[in-house]
Amino acid sequence: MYLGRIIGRVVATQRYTGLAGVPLHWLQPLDEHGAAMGDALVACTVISAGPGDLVHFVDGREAALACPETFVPVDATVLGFVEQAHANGKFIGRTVSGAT
Amino acid sequence: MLIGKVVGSVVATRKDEKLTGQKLLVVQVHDQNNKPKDQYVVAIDSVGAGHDDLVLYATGSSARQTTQTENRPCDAVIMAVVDSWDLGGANVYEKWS
Repeated sequence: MYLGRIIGRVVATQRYTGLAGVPLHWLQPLDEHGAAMGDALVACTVISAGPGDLVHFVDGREAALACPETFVPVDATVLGFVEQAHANGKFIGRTVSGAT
Repeated sequence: MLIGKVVGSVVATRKDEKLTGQKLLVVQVHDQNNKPKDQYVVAIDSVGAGHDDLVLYATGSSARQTTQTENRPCDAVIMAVVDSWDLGGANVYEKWS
């Protein structure tokens, strides 16, 4: 699992059947300093997260297991909020709801 | 998942028999600002995407998790057609504008 920040919303009505109603968000993975790590990606969101939230997510085939329907073509899913994160004694960040 | 634009299709008559009848599309990857990258994938279409559509595709073993691609040699599948997205509250892409 990785740390990330939600940076945007994606709307897609024409989608794989089992994915009806699952929110999609742009997500920027973060490193141990809270800085952007690699390219942004789109992930399913199974919590009521929105832009600005610090979250953790899983990628790969396991990502589908977190969705309401588990046999779906999903390779990244946001699993939960991160209230606060520290690494090597340093503060990385916290969820700022409503911020961008 | 990543977003990309459908820029072409692939026709292959000699192929693994498990790929028979599958629609193969060439997708050019776009970043979150809708800027095209110099990166392309061939993906099986599971939603009826068309030329110039911006689509979402899943890669790796997740791509086999559709009734259409189950147990087939496939590592990229188009699983949604994107209508719009925003970044930091600003609209980046709108299909129907």
